[in-house]
Amino acid sequence: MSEQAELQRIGRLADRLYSNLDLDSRVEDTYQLLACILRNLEPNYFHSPIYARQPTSKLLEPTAKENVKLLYKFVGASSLPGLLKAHVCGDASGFLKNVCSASAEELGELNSVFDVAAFMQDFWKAA
Amino acid sequence: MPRNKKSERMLVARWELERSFVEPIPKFEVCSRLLFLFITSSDKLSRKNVLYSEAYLDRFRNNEAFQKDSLFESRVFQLGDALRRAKDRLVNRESKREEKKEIKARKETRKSKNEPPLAPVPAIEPSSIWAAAVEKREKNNE
Repeated sequence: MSEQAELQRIGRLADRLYSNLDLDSRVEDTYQLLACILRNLEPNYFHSPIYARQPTSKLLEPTAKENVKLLYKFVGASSLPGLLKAHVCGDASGFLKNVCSASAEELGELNSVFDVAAFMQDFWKAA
Repeated sequence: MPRNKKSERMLVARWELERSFVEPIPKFEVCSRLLFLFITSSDKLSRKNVLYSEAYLDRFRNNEAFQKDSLFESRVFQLGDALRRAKDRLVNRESKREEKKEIKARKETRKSKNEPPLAPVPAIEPSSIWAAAVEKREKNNE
């Protein structure tokens, strides 16, 4: 799979999971998008009942920290539309902060690649 | 802390039993009663205490002074009977414990069968693509 195809896959997943259609399932699993990206899953995997599938906490173990950081850097500096980047990077930084308890320096380093908060401020101002 | 201080009770009974047997002239009545009380002090006599009372029963049986007593036969029978019942209870308890363990193991295997299937593993690890892309970008920036 090429870099472009991978970006397309991530963009498609972010677009689909953050659209209104999947809003209900998004509330149940906060890091569903990250799980889909990291484990190469389709969003409909989460449509099956909880007893018939693995929960996101199992799919995304704290050991995924390095991969999530890599994803942040990859998506943050990519040519994806800003809002999709913000969705992916926002989820990634949330996961790093809340699950992996990443330090402020680590998060600051990632923010230098793509600042989600600043982007969202500009986005809402423009809207 | 034990609920009914069983271990403490057993310790005292054991100590009294030991003391009665090591006296210069052990008394038949005292030794036999203390041994009987030790064996019947608890419904759940541990394996260690069963072995311990067995050893003391042997000591009681082999004591030449006690053998001369008229009540010796009946006391040995009484003590042997009490010990046999304690052993039976111990064996029952142990077999029940084994059964419980088996049931638990069976339940656990059933549980593992009911666990959800593992998520599919990606053919190509996406992180390898990200790592290559990030490295390439860093090189270009230099």
